[in-house]
Order: sequence, then C-alpha cells, then structure tokens
Amino acid sequence: MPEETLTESNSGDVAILRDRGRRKERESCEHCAHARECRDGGISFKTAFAAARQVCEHRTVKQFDLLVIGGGVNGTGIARDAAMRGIHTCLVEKKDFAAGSSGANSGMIHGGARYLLFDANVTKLSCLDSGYIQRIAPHLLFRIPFLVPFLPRGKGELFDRAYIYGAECYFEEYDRYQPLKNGKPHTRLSDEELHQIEPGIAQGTLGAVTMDEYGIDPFRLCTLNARSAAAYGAEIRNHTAVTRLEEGWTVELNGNEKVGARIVFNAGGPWAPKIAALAGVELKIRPSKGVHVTLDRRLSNYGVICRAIDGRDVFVMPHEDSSIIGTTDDDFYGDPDELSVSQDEIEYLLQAVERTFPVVRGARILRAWAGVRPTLFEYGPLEDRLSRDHRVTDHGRGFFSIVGGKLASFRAMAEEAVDAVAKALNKGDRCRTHQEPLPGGATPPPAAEELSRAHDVTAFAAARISYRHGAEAEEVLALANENPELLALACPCEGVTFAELKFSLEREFAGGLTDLRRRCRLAMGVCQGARCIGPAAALVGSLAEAEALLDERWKGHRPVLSGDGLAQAELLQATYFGTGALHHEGETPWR
Amino acid sequence: VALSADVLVIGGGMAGAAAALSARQAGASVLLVARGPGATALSSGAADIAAVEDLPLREAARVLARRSGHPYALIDDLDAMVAEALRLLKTLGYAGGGERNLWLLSPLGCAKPAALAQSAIAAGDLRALPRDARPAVVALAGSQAIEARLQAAGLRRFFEKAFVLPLDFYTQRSDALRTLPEMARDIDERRDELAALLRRAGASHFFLPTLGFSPQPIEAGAPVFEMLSAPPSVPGLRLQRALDKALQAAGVEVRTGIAERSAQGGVQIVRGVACEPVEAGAIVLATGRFIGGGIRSDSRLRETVFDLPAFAGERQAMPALATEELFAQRARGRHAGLAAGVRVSEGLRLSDRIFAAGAVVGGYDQSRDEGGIGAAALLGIAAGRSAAQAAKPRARASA
Repeated sequence: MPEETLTESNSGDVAILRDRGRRKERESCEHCAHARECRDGGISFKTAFAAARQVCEHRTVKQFDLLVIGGGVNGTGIARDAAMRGIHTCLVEKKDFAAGSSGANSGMIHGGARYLLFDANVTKLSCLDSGYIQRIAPHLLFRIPFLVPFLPRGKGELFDRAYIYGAECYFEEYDRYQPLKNGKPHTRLSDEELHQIEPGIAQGTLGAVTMDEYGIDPFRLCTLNARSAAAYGAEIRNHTAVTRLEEGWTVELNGNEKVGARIVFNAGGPWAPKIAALAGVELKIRPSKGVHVTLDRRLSNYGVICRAIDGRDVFVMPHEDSSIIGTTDDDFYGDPDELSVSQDEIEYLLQAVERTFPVVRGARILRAWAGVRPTLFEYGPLEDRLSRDHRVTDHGRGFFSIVGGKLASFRAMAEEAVDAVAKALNKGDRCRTHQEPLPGGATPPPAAEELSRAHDVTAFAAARISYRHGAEAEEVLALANENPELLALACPCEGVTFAELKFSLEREFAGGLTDLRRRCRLAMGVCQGARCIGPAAALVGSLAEAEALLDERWKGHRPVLSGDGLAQAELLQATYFGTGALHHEGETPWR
Repeated sequence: VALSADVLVIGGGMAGAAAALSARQAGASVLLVARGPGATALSSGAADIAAVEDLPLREAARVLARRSGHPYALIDDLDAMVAEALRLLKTLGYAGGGERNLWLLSPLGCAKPAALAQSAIAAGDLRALPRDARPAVVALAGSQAIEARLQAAGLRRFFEKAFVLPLDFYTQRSDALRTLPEMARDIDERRDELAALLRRAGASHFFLPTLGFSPQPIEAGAPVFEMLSAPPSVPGLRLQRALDKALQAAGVEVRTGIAERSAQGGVQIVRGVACEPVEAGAIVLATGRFIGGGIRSDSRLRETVFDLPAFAGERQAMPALATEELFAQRARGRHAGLAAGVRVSEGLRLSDRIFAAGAVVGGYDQSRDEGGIGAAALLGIAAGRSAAQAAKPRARASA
C-alpha cells in the first residue's frame, strides 16, 4: 500500500508503532530517525511517518505461518480451512477470486458419474464432498436433474437394447453414491415420458435415464470462502500479484511490498507451474482448455446430456437465469492469461446439442467463455480420458502445490492440503470446514415474498438476493434503510440492487465493476451490460471501471457475434458510445 | 386488391419517414409500411450528422464523405442536403444547427457532439453556458439519483461549481424503482410542483434527466435543460410520435406490417394472416441495421426484405474467427462489422427502382460520430427524392 497515508481511520498503526518492541527497531532506522527529527521540527509525527513509512517497509514485514497463492476455489478453500485451524494465513490473488478456472467451469457440484469407470475414487470423493458443501452453503446450491436420452445408434435394435441395459447398470452403480449428496436414484423414462417433461428433445428417442446433480455459483463460493477466512483472521489480498519468492520465505507482492511466511502454498491452477518456477521448483501439469457457451434463457427444464461428433459427452443445462452448453476439452499450450474462443469450438458445442435438443439453434448466444483445467500431468491418454484426480505435493523447504481435482471436491482437497501444512508447521486444530457454514448459510434464507414486502424490492430481485446471500439477504437490503435509492435495480436482468453492489464493495473485497460482476452477476444477464454498466459506474464513480467491464463483456461477445446478438451489440455500442460518448471522455468543447 | 402508390417506403423510423415526406413533397403518392418501432424510438434526443474533432458541421460532413464507404460520398450536393436535413429536423422539435456542433451532456457525464438536439436538450449546449456557471444535476430518485453523481462529476470538468441537487419530488421508498419514462409521465402530471421545488433551490442552470413527454417549458427561475437519454429513451419516443404525426399531416398512407418479396417478384405486406400485394413505381428501403432488422448475419450477411447481399467492410460474411478487421479487441475500438449494410450506388440506388436510406446502408457507424438520426434524415430525404423521380414515368403512364 505505497500511496496509503496515515489518517484517523488507521491511526491504529501509530499505536502499534508506540509499541516498545517496535520502538527499538525505529531507533535503528534512519528513516524513522528522520521522521523523529521532523516531529521535533514541528511537523506532526503522523505526516512525517507517512512519508517515511514506505521506505521503512523492510522493518515491518508482516509474518505469516502460511501464504496461499491463488484465489480460486482451492486457494480460498485452503485459506479458510487454515484460518479456522488457527494458522496465521495470508491469501494473495493476482486478479480476483474465481477469475481463472474456478469461474470458468460449468458451475456444478456434481458427483462425476462420468469418472465412475476409470476414476471411481474421484466420483466417491466428489459425491461425499458435495454433501458437505450442501450443508455449509445450502442457499448457494440448486438442484439440476439431468436427462440422459438414448438416440438409436443405427446398429440394430439388439445393440440399442444392450446399450441401454449397460447404461442402466452404470447408473445403478452411481446410485450407490447418490445418498452422499442427497441425490435421488436414477429413473428410466420412456420416449413419451421424456417428451412430457422436456418437449424440446428430438423425436424418436429410445427413452432416457435421469440423474440428480447440483449447480452452484462458483464466484460466490470462492468469495464466501475468502470472507470466511478473513473472519477467522486471515489476511485477504486480491489484485495482488506475487512477483518474487525468496527462500525462507520472503514474498514480494506487486513488486513493492514484502511479507514473510513459513510455508508457501501454490494453488495457482493453470498458473501453478509459473508460480512454482518463481520458487525454483519444476511442476508439470497437462493444461486443457474448456469452452462454454451461455444462452439468453433457460432453454430446458433439465440438464440434457448429448453426444458430440467425436463421442464425447456435452450437456446443455439451466444455470441461474440462462442455459450453459459445455464443454470442450483440448490440450492447451498457450498463456492462460490470453485465452480466446473460436467459432469452431462454438459450432462443435452447438452441433453436439442440436442432435438431441434441436431448439438450441433458435436461442441467442450471449457469450462464449473459456477456462483451463490444471489437470495432472500424464503423457499418452486423450484429454477426455485424463484422470480428474488431484495431488498435493510437498516440494520441500516449505513449498507446497496443489493441482488437478474438481470444483465439487474442493473442500476435501483443501482439508488434505491443510493437513499437510499443519503437520509441517506442527500447529493447528482439526478441520471444521465441513461443519461450519459459509457466510449466509447458517440459517435458511428468507422467503422472497417476505423480503420483497419488507424492503420494497421486486419479488424477482428479492429471490435473486436471497439466493446469492442466503441468510445475509436482510443485511444486504438493510443498507438501503438510510438511502432508499440503493433499492433501485442497477441490473434489471439479474435483479441486482445498488444495495447489493454496495455490500460487495464494503464487505466482499470487490475493487471495481468486474469484481462486482463476479459477486453479484452484474452485466451477466441477457443484455450483457447495456442497462447496468452506466449506473454501476455511477455508484463507484469511475468511467474507467465502466470501460473495464465493457471490455470484459466484449471479449466474450466478440466470438459469437451473429443473428440477434449483433442487434444487442449495436444497442450496447449506441448506449455507451453513440449516446454516452464514452470515447469523448475527458474532451472539453472549448479546445 | 393490390395497394398502389408511386413510392413505397419500407421502414417507419427517421430515414423512412424522411424519405416518405420528401417523396410526398416531390408530388408522389406514398405508402409507408412499418413493422414497429426500431432504433429511432430508442434514440437519445440528439441528431448527429457528422462530428470530426471540432470541425464546422459542413466541413465534418465533407471529411466523412471522403472516408471509404461512407454513403455521404454518394450524395450529389452534400451541403444542400445537410441544410435540408436541418430544416426537416427543426420541424420535428429539434434545435441547433449552427455552424458548429452542439456539445451535449451525456448520461455518462461526457460531452457528445451533435448537429441538433430536441430543443430542451439543445438549450443545454455546454459551449453556450458561461464558464463560471453553477449548474445543478437534479437527482429525483433511485438509479437516476445515483447516475446524477456521475453526470455532475462530468459536468465539473467544464464548470467547477457543478453539483448534484437532490429534490423532494419523490418521497416514497418504492419510488426508487421509477424508470425514466415513468418519471416523464409523473413530471407531465406534476409540472408545477417540480417548478416550485426548483425555484426554491439555488442554481444557475438545471439539468434534468427528463422534462416529461409534453414539450411545455418549466418555469424554474433559471434555465432548465434535459440531458441525453439512453434506452428506454423519452426523447426517442417523442421523435417517433413527431414522425407519425408529420406523416399523417403530409398525407402519407401508413401501414403496420412486414414487407416481403412476393412470389411474383413484387412486394407484399403481411400482417397476421392477411397479405396485400403492393404496386409501386419505386421503393425506398429504410429498414435499419441490426436493431431495426434490416440486416442479418447468419451464415452470411444479407438484407432481409429483398435478400440482397450485405457487406461489412469488404466482407460478405462474418468469418469463423473474430477478426480485428471486423471487430476490434476493445469495446471502444472501431467495429466495421457493426457498420454492415447494403452497398448503394450514386443517388443511394440499389437497382432501377429501389433506393436505400438510413442504417440499412452500410459504411457508417452511428456510435462513432459518423452520423446518427441526422444522417438518417439526410439520406432519407435524398432517397425519397430519387425515388419520386424514378416513379415519375409510372405516374405519367397512369395519367
């Protein structure tokens, strides 16, 4: 915090400086001596010290037991677990929570039925942990029953019957894990029953099998983990990059600040090899890119599993107010900071879904997005056959890494990671992350109707707030008690009130509009920001923030521009440039 | 029974209405078919023709005419047509049109250059206000009250003493949910009350998000201006109403329906199950771009009524990989893909009897000062005139 000056609000720092132990240090520091001279010369100590503080940083390096690098679901999960066990923890993330792979997946807390054949332990762990996640964040999970329709394979009736029989056996095996996550056992549907509940599915199926899974808002999951960690005393630093790692460990942050840690935990996901290299350690993963497409509406009532042209499973599923199609799985050799999506990848997904669910072509594509899976390294297998298992590695000298794994089992992975840390530190209680609820998860969320009546917000907004914030929904809306304008909707598509934005700015480490997008689904709805980016920029008072979010949305919209999407793009451009004149910002008409 | 007119105009926005009015003025009988409100009804209240740095309006238009693909290049006497467009817009409630562009306060607090604007907006030309002005951005309720902060902050770059003025016009908690069109309706009903509240506040000028649908002035003891509006926009609705009225007064026959090519190669108007063929001497296509639905890109770019090829830059289809050529990496970049449209020849001609006007014509981007409502009016007038001329042989034959 180089620009920070000493004000009344952090005069606590001055109190610390008066502390005896520090005084000694100060006396031996020429800058502090200079500060003292200034004070004697009549300049206030506060002012003088503020000037000298920056240079004195090396004297006041903060010490932690554990420094976690990476604000994804692993990093925030580890930070929470460690903080709860009394380990003095600092979490650093170069961008924002869930800004990488944790926010670019399907958003599912699923059991991984797909892995049953070759990775049964992954399935079991995922199911078990899904049950725990339901317990600690009940408001954040939503049930998505899946349909697995069978299309004739063109190899004769006998083959089809054998295939369906095989599939049923498979799901019977999966049923054994369902109770772990409160899932219902599979059922078999006839073609007629299938079309009764999901009329959009192609005609002439051989029926379907159902399967119970859960969805989650992965951005909120990571944010809540970070908030919980902070509540247990961890220091949370998003938008803070690690620029150097020196053994011992002194960690340079943003190139201008240092902290010390006994253990450094690398939870960088696809960036993990880069972080390991900073520590002089070689870490190999087999990164693989996954592309998703978001549609403008809930196209189906259920998740539908479809087969891609290469035989892979691709699904379309309702997620919050939209539908998601995913995903591709291709080896990735580029820079995870520079992901892009091509129309080929989008066409692959649409083609896959179209055969089973033809109406998909009628929907407007809102955007495409990509993430990189930090899969365990293995040479040989096709991407789809790679193990989804995870690995915690002790590289020695107090440097640990975690790679691989699934969103659905993040908590168990964090537990395993912190067990290793606790052992190395010889410190820490037992893991409690499976028992203690995340913020907002302690009691059932308030009913939307009541919330709507009590706070004069629309029922839709009330329902969305109560989903996103659970038991904290009241607290969020209470921010508008003094300022009723905060009850207004910043984003009508996703029911985001200004109160919710303010709550995230004040309590959830949100630094700007792109952070608010992750926490509150700002600009994630059907208009992709045409309505909300201006009003939200007004709340934070920054047009630069407006432009950052416009650019972020444009990045996902650009590869899918066709059909009605172009009208949306034209309207958005007309709003912010044609009418808003954002490209004339800073120009004055007199020169 | 076939409908018949000298000139058929397809599209009821600014370009279509301007074409219909000018063809009517040239003595042609005109039938206008409109599917419904399009981009014109969402417009901001400004009418931009051309803005290049701070060049005088006519010079800026000439600069655009030299840019590759801009339809101004195809206009015979550009200066005269600019004058015609200004004249038409002034009859529709727009003011300004001096030598230089107006600089108007945008909803983001930036200054937008435009040739004209609806009169209460044009009056707030930032350049016309004294530098020591103490203007207030009035905060009424909800989201608008929050946006007022951004607008006042923008205004402070021009006038140091600009400030946000909260007003007790709305007092209920639930008023926070009011949208701008709703506020406009409330102001129409409570105009005197608003004026009284403003008179009590001290400011040299008042900027309001809307002054209501009715254009009556507000007596506040100091000048009251309206700001430009993002969609859903009250000025846009006002313009659409003014156009509908002008068309009626000029004796243009207006139909609601979808124009499409008939099996015989002519044009028919479809509404529900009803289908009426149209006999016309000439046609003006003014169907807009993507918002209006005049241009569509599926596997290739096409015009939607006659299925004519459309172009984005030099391309006839959006390629499989988003290219820098059509869509810049950043939102604020230039996007040739969003300036897609049909290609016309001299006089905005598509074929012997078909002309095009407004955003359906490619080559200019409304969001980058290359002409908005003002350009639509200008191109509409030119196309309407050409169409009336092309239809003349038919008129003579029938006489």
